[in-house]
Amino acid sequence: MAEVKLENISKHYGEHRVIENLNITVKEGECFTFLGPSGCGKTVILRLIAGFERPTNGEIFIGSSLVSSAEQKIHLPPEERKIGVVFQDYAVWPHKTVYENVIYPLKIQRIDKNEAKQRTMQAITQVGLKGLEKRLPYQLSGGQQQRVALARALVSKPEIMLLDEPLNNLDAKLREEMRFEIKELQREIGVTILYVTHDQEVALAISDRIAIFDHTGHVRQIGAPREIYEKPADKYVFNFMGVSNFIPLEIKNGATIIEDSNIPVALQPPTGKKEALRMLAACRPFDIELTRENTGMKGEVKRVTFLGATMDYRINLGEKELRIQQDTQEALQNNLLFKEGEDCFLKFYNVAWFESQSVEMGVS
Amino acid sequence: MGMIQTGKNRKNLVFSKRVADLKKFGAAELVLILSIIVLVVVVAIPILLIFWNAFTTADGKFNIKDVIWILSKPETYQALLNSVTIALGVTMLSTILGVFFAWLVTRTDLPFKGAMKLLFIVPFMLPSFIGAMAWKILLSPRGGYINVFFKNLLGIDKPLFNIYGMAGIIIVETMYLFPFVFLQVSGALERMDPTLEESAQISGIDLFTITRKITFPLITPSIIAGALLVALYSLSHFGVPAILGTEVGIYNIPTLIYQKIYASAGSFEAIRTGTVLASILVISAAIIMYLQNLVLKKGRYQIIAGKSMRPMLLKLRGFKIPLLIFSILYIAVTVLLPTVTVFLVGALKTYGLPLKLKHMTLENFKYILFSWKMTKDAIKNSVVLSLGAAFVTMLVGTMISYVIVKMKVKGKFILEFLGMLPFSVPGTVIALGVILTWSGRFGVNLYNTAGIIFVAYIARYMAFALKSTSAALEQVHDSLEEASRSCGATHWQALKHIVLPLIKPGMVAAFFLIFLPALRELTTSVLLYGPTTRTIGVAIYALNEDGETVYAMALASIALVIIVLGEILIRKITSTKEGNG
Repeated sequence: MAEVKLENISKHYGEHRVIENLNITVKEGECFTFLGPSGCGKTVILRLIAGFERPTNGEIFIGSSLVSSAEQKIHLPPEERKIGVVFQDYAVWPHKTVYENVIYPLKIQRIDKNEAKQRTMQAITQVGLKGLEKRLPYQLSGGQQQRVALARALVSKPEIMLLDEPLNNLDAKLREEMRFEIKELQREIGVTILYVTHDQEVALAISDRIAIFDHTGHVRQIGAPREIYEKPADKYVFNFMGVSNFIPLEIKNGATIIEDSNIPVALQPPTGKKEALRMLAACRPFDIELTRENTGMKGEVKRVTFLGATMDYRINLGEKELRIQQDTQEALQNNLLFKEGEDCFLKFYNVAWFESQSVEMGVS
Repeated sequence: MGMIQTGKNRKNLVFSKRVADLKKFGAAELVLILSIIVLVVVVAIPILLIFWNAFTTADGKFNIKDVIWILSKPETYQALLNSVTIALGVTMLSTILGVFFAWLVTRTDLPFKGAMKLLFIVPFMLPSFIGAMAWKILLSPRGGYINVFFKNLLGIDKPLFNIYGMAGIIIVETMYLFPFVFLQVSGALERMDPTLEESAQISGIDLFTITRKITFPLITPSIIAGALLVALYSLSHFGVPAILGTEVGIYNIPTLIYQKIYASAGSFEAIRTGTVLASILVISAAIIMYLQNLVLKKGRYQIIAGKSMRPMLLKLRGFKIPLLIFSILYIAVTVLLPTVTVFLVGALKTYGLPLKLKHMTLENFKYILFSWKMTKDAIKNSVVLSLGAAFVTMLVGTMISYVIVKMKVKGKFILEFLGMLPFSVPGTVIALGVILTWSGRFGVNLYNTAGIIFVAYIARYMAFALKSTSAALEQVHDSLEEASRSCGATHWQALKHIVLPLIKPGMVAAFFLIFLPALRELTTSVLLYGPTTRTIGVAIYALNEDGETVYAMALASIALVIIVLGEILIRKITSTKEGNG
């Protein structure tokens, strides 16, 4: 276990500034996720920590040791950083069997033969590959190869594990299973995990803390999953964490209306923000209730899609479109299933308020 | 432990910093510099010296007057014209034959297509100068076996066909070079997405129109690429014109260079003429390579690469049997006939005897293999030189490919440029450049030793090694090596444990891709051999020149046996590699 600290880290490729002045401290034993769209530089951060790339500026500490420093021209090669890496494309060596793949780090470290053997079998068992140790990678499924990579990273008991989108190429069911296993492993061994993904569901499920990046490589928010989900720092974070409805509003003569229209809205901006004339209300599809009782906000059902446990609606509010979901069972019981073309009334919960920028309202 | 305590131990920190700097230089930069040096010494300097020699006077002043004077001399002018004429003729014939046969084996219901496809590539394996000698034996105007046969049969006075001359050269070269077009086009036809044609068929267009309007335009880049390769090889081809042209006073650029250097024993005047002609070869080869890259780049998007698909087959109906007979006849005449001739003549007691069993003996082969020092030495020289050159070139090529494909170092572009050079430099040019470089000019004189042939082979076959090993390295994803590093392996350990085992098949392929052609090499060694450093190719050529046709053919038979065995071996190795993948 060790802490990882990035101080003023920048990485430029020629003119292209991938990362600029990044400061992050990952605590000991924490599962920390770098979440962002593809191309935001999150993989580069992992490669900097692993030592495959050198920072243009700044310093990286692992534990109390300085491992990279652009200013002092220090660069500890990857093999001396005591980290386990699981690559996006598994990087399981095709000419080695499962057993040979997993035992490799111990052979390099010249661990005693018996101990190495025992630890290898333990790691293989841990990821559920017992009985397959003599197979070559091409005889394994994608998920099994992924587990080999995981076992290989675990076997040398690293202080830090770096995982780069390790669940990307798995099917939905296996992905869920593996993310549970990773979390279990982390609890069991207490290793510090740095996890890179663009999938907010995975991030919410396994992280102690998440750092959200935008496409320019800047951090928008760092926090625990619930904190980020419930108190998003800005519109970008809100949008990134799930399907979002944004409604641009303006306050005219004390009444809240949809921007550039005369449609009144039964929404009260939070106190302290009343001064702002233009605001942005944001909410999730499940935070709007469809009712038949007049709440003052009338919409028209444009399209209904049955998704099994949930119903998915596209609702026209004035000229804008909102996306709303409801629990199918509940709607059935309360006679709240709407047909296309029908009128309906909207009730808002858990509305988040942001400074209004020139945004198109609607679903994104 | 390489970790550094922060803020506590400054001294330790400074020391570690130095270690890091050293390491930084130690691996990447050292290998880069080494690779550049090898390519500069082996490839760049010889080529530069050719240009330097062609365009400067003895005291180092720029000189274009002599260049114009040399080019306007009738013999050089004529040689240039001959080279271009031969190249044009061979390219046109090869393109017609190559496209036709490629279409026949991929898009029709011709029987035995698989076997036919293999047979059409066989000419690739056979050294063309040996083929030319066989054709000389069969079709020389006076004593050629075929000409004599028809003279007696028809009672005519004139030979049926005189193989000496431009027509003979073009026809024989085509036999050995058309597989370039055949391979390119049949590959393209196999990989082409059949839905492109099917959608036209669904629209009710007949097969002839589809072929003309859709299939043909799609494979045009491959046709052009194959044709340019043929032009590149034909323009600088030595063997066939040397055997079928020199006798009747027809020279192309390489044979004129050889004749000049050979006749004058390396006088300044001869070298000057040689370098001017060689410069022309290099420039035209570079232009051809450039055009080929252009065409291939453009053609890439059109054809979906990857898995083979099942294309529509044209039913040949009534033409099926005639076309099959035509194809078999073509292979029998161009491959079987000359090969059989080589073996039969090699077994004759005396040249000129009719090809009957009672005139045959195995003594010739025995004599060449076990008794005659000249041929024994030639075989030994060729084997040792080819093995050595193949081994060294493979290793150096792997190192250079690694830098080009995998490393992130400044200055890599120099290597990429230098690495492209050997692809387009003809054998004659390499030989000339090597003579200029290694004859004492830089304090090392290898002239007349096996060493000069060795460095020439390395330069000549570096392209093969680079192609084969860089293709193998591109298959090894960076993360495989990085995974090893993060497991605690040093750079060298990662190379040894992960990268090298994974590219071994590519390296073995590179070895054989160099060893086999080097074994039968003629163009380069014929300009470089000394009294004791004949190679197999040179020995066959010299025996033929001296009129020792029987011994030339006997040695050629032995060479053919070795080559065919080697080809079978390499096919085995590369096919098991694919089996594992």
